[in-house]
Amino acid sequence: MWSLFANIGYLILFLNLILFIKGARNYGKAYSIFTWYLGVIFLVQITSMTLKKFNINNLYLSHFYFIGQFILLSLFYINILKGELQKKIVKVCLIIVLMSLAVQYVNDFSLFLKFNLFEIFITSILLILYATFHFYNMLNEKKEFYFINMGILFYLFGSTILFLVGNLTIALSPKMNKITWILNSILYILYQIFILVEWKKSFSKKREFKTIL
Amino acid sequence: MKFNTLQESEIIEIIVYSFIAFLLMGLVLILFFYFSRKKIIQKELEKKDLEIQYQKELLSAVIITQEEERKRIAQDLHDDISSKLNIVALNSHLLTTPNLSQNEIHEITANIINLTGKALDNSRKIAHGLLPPVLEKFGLHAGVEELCLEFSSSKAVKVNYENKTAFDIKDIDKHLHVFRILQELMNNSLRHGKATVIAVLFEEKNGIKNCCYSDNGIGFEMKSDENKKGLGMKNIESRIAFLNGKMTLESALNKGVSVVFNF
Repeated sequence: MWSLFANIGYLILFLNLILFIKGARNYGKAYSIFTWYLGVIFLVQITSMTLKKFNINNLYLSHFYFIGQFILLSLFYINILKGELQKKIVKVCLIIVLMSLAVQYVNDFSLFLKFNLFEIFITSILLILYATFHFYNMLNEKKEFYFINMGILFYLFGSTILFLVGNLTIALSPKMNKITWILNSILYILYQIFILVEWKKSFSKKREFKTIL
Repeated sequence: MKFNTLQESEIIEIIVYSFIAFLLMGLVLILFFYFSRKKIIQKELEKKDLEIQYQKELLSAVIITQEEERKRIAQDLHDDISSKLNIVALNSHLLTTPNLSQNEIHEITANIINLTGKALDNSRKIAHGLLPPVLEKFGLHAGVEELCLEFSSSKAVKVNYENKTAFDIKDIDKHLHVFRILQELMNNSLRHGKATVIAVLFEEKNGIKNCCYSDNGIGFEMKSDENKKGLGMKNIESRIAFLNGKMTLESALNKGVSVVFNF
């Protein structure tokens, strides 16, 4: 059951990645950063799937996932946010978070082998903040990356809680802990659909993209 | 035992993080709402300010036109009537002088009669200019017809007038505005546009009366700002606003002017 949902999610992710790569040259920096983001998370997902196949613990990959997502989406928001203050907040937060995480891992490497609550918490909350910044900017401006932003906000709201309780679910029986991951995969499918919709609305027509945006 | 305490501290950690996460999400939402509201209200204020500014401009245009009209009436009265009545008064005084010959009395009275006649004529002209009696008595159609005739009689311009609708005499207040608008447009066409042919057409569509006006004058560039600030155009705009109508104005250099408005 879980693997079915997860596979659908990966499939749409793969589709999005291909669609976004096709237009990567035409739509500016923010677009290509987002394409990189899709690429990186796809890579992490594929790796974790392979590791799981060979029954190797793949939990440490979650750190690549969260940190990679945080770095690339921060860069993405630096590019699309309007005010200087907002950009500055994103830049400063990016540096502070990366440094504090580095300090944390140097101090206690065992954190690397399970869910790091601080990491999940801080990266998700900050991305939620950036997404609301962007919504705020779009209140009376043209809609740019509207659906992607919606998807990010939506997914992060749900998944943050699921990942925060992730360490607990490991202690649960395998049958029960599947439920949280099914919920997560459904969320993930919705997230990828939002991205697909964005591509359809804003980027599928090559010539007219300026008028649609 | 040790395992248990570890579990507990982990659970507490999870609870605390979840709690803070929810709290912060809520905070972000509240802040988002707060700032959005502020932004929207500010935008609305700006819009309202613009509207007020526009209305002020219209009002000042109305006041300026009123003053100009007063000046013109004062001038007309002074030049055409007061001066003549002055001479009438002078002549009447002359009549009181003793020992006037019959011939002289005859001459003076003829003078007086002549001048009062002229003064009367002029006062009628002024009154006519202020509000054509035809408009009041016979309605807009006759009023516009007469207006066109007046313009045509100047030989400088040919006016084609066509009316495909009937005007209700009850709407005479509205019709006065329409009449004034046409007067202003024709004046503009003649004075600024150097037009030789003017066309006026009234028609009715779905219960809404349309007036189409066009000339073949030199027109003007729509985009340049100086043309938009004219007092006459502002006056027309405020009259259209009174009529609750809409006006579209089209023009280009050497292409004449075409105006369509409804009422």
